[in-house]
Amino acid sequence: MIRSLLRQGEMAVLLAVALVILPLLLLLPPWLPMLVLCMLALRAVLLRRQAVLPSLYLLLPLLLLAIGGLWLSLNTLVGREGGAALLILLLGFKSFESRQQRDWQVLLALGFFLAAMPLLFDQSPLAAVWLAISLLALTWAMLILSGEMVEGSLRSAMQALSLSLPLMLVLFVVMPRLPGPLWSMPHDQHVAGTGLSDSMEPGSISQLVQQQEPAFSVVFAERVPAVSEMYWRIMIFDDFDGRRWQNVRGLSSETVRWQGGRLVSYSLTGKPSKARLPLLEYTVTAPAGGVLEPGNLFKLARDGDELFRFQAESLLAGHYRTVLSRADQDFYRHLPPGNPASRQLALQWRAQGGDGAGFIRTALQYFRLGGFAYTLQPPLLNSEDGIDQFMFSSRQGFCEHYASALAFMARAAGMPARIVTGYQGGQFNPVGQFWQVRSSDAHAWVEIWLAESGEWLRVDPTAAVAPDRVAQGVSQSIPAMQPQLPVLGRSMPGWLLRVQQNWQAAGFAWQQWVVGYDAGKQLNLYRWLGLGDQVDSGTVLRAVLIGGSLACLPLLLLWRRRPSVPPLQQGRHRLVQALAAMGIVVVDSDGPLDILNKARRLPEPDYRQLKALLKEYAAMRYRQPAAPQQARQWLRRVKAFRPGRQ
Amino acid sequence: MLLFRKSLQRWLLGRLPLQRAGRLGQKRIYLLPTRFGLLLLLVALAVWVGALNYAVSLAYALAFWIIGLMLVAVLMAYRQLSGLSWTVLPGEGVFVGQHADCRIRLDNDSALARRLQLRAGQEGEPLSCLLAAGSSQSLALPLLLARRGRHAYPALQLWSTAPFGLMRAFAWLRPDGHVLAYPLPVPDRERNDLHSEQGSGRQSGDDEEDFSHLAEYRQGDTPRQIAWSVLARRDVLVSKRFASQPRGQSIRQLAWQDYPATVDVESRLSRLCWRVQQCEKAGQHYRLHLPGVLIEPQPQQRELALAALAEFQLPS
Amino acid sequence: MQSLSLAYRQLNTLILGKPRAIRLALACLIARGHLLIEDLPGVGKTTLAHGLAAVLGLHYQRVQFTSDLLPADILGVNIYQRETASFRFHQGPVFSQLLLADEINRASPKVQSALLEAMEERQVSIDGESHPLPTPFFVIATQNPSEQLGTFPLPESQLDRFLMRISLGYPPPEAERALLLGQDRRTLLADIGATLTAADLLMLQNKAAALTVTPDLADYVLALLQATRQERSYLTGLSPRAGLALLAAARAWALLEGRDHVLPEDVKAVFPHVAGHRLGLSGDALGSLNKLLDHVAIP
Repeated sequence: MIRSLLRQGEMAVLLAVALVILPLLLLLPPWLPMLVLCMLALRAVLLRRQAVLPSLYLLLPLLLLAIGGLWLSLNTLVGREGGAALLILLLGFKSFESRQQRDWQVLLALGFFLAAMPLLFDQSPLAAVWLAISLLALTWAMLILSGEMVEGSLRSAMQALSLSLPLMLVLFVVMPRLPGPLWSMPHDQHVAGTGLSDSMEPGSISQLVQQQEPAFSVVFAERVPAVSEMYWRIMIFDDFDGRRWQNVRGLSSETVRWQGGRLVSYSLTGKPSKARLPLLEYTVTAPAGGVLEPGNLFKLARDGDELFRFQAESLLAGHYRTVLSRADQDFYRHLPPGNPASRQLALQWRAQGGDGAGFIRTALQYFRLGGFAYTLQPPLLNSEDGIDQFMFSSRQGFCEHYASALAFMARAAGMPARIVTGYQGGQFNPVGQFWQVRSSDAHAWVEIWLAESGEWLRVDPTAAVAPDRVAQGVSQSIPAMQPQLPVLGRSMPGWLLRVQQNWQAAGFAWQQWVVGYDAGKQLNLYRWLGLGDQVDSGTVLRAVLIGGSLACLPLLLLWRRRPSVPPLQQGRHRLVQALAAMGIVVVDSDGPLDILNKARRLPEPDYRQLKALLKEYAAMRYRQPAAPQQARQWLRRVKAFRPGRQ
Repeated sequence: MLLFRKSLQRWLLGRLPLQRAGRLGQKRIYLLPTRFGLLLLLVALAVWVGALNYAVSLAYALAFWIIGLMLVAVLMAYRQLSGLSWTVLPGEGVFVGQHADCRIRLDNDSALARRLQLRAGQEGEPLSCLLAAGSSQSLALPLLLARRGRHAYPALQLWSTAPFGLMRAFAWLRPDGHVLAYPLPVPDRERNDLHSEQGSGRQSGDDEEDFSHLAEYRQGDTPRQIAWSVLARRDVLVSKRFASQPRGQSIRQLAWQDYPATVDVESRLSRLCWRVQQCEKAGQHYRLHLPGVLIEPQPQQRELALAALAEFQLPS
Repeated sequence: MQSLSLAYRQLNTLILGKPRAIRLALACLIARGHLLIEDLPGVGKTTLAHGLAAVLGLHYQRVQFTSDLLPADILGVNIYQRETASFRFHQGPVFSQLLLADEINRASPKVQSALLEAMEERQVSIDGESHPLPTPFFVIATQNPSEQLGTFPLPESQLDRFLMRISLGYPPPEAERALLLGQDRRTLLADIGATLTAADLLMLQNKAAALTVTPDLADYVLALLQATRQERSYLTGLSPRAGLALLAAARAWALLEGRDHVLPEDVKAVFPHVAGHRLGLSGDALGSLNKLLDHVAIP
């Protein structure tokens, strides 16, 4: 039943394109791929019944209707999602307009194009696997559509794909990559990266912390800082409205004088969110591909969420000295009204501590000894004076609570302060020799400007409450939340850890060498292979020629693999052809004696030669099955037989 | 474009010798992408541009994989034709206005099944054939013969788009063969033979015309055949033998001179052709006389006679 | 082998212009099969049977089948012996080495099946006692295809008992001329001496059965059988038993050709005669079988 269905190339095409758009169910508003899949299924039914297709006058309004729906749900028809959505819609309608072989071929070509769509959303190994499956299905459909037999067609498709695989790999490696885009694309606004949000309010980080996705990965060149020293800064929040911290101003420029510390060089690979990537505190020079913004933040030159990789050097434990103007100081001291109790306490600390450092000491001691608890499920802070409630009654919270409270207290005490968000820590993967930082490592801390030394000082109140959090990472530090952490986040048995680390290493390699293979890596590879010092037309041509000929070797092998027709059959064919050239027509139902009979009018020597050959042939086939060697010898003699040429 | 194609084709054909048989090799096989192949190349290009722009690594992989597939398709399409042997088979003659078969035999001695198509010239109706591994097949291309005489086999185009339909491998063949178009038979009732008239039950009014000789009576002779006059005179049972009798010994003469000078060449040939047909149908021995040509009774006389009529006064 | 070719030559002097039919008849005999000749009267069926018997030194009997014939007339009867007060079996004509059953389709089905049973089992069972037939045992049956009135055509299932069906047909003119001018066949027959003994024949039969058949040839036979099964115009295809019969006949033919192995040509030579009556084709409809042979490729 299924076999006979698939005998139709058209059915195979429908099946293949359906397979291709399947992943879009997860990536687009599901109703749309679902609609297209239903259309393809309906088309298959019509095909099966040999039914009449609906007319264009019915289809066009329907298409417009569907496009309208698309506009309503996506608000766009261009860009990554809009484009993909429009394309699969067109595919669905094209299938209803396909009658001739040529139409089906267009559909199939569209299928090849659509196979690229999921890759715009996801380039994980899984996406690659799906790409291979899609290609196999499409190639197979192509075979069936062009009239190949169903039997063995899957095998042929696999053979063709595996023969073209080396060619693909060579081209993948050597064809030049562009450092920037050809044209910029409207960006999809609502797609959330794994990064941090634009503002910070209670709950915004703890939400992140509960996830385990890798955020970015880092390789240190030689010296590796301690985990507690790894502060990856992404964003600064400088304005508090009583509940939420936001980035309002951002300095236009900043003169920094770095002091002390030791240099650590590292390379970081991650997916930018709003053109931002983390920097290890404090990175003193801007990495290639972006600029350093005031506040020691990294902003990429180019928008987009493609994976980005950069190298940088960081001044670990250095001093971040900068001059703040009066206006700036006032800005960093601004607070909305409210929280009177906390304000009072802040002034009290300031009085106790004397200078800024004293204030910080007092504050941290208060957090450490004040009965504060570190928990992911703090009681809701719903009063007007949220800071007061946290400081004096609930006393339970997560890094964002502590950071928020400390920054408030500092500002209330008249010290410029701001909140920095990013990640803290990371996990070393011994298999891949890299550090993996996950969403769960998201963190917030405070920077307070000390007027005495003119320096932004990092103060991490969370470290005071839960020193483990900074020293070991989040999963070790929150016993209360452990049951809710996913399995991988818990301390796990050794073998499981190894599995996880291997998996991560593979993922890292995939990111580094497949997804993150860019112009830079390509150049390195060209150098390493000795192809040339730059990627230009000459070196690319050379690389394509060398690599291409290597990749064609399997093709050559296939070509050389001589079809294994048994020598006896081959010889009979030769004889038949030789006789045909003499005008003697031998058919397949002729036995050796029949052939001899037909060849009577050959010249005498030829006839005698033919007779001997046929006698041997008959003996080898019908008397005593011949040894292969004997048969091959006979074949050689047959090849030497040229009637009419003596 | 079309003009260019035509002249290219003429040039290609001019290079080819006429052959009775041949084997397709590198020099004879040409490769071009099909429309579908071009479309897929376009898709690969689009995916590549998209990959460049979005810096999507896996999309590069897709684009290049399609390119690789095209290259594999080139090889496979080439393999469809490479090493294929062909042999011209003699064509059977037909009458003017009928379709003759231009017959050619394809031998596939490889272990690869081939899917081929064949057509006459560039416009002919294509003929498909599936040639299993190690098999042979005879193909017959219908050829409308509008004129009398010898018609050379047309140049043939053999091609395959298998297995993907992406590439088209093709080769031109110039078979050294011909078919004969016999003159269109035109009934010539006046000189019709006796046999059919006997069959239609006519009385022996025109016996004299076909009467051959008298012979001894044989068991089974019909009363009508008995020469009653002889019996009456000499009291011997004698049968009349007619020229048209199946096993009769007489030989009919079909001659150019049977017709008055006013009858033109083609009409003569057509009538003679019809009469040859009639004789063959009735099993009647005959002799065909044309100026300069004499076809005696012999094996395969029909073919010889018709060929002589077909080629009469035509340069061969 | 020499005596076999001598026998063949002698038969050819006896029955003129029919070498192929003679060869087929001999092959049939060597393949231990029975022969059905479908022909008009007077073309030499009896002479052929007689000649075969004479040349091979076989004991020969002829039975003219008529509608009033009874099974006992062929098989024999138990007759009471007064002297010994017991029944004694009197052998019928079937107890011969070569039986010519003339116009077999004139006899009643009862008689036909009695004979055919004996042919199949090579023994006769009467009153619970079985009497083995002599060896070799060879039946040549004839029937006249053109006479349909008052005849009982052999049922197709029983036609299977005959290995081959042949027809002699009119002799070619020269042969007929020689026939007219030459001696009377009967007297000629008297001159023919046995060139083979029954033992020789048995040996030949064994030899034929031992001829080599290679897998390639078996494939060809298989292809032929398949072709008859796929051909729409036949009611049924050939049975596996027919395949064995075909192979046996081909072996015998190969032996007659002087070979120790079977070629596809041997199969082709006997195929129309082995397959024709099994497929229910009339004697002059063998053209379709020849066409089939032309279409089935030798693997």
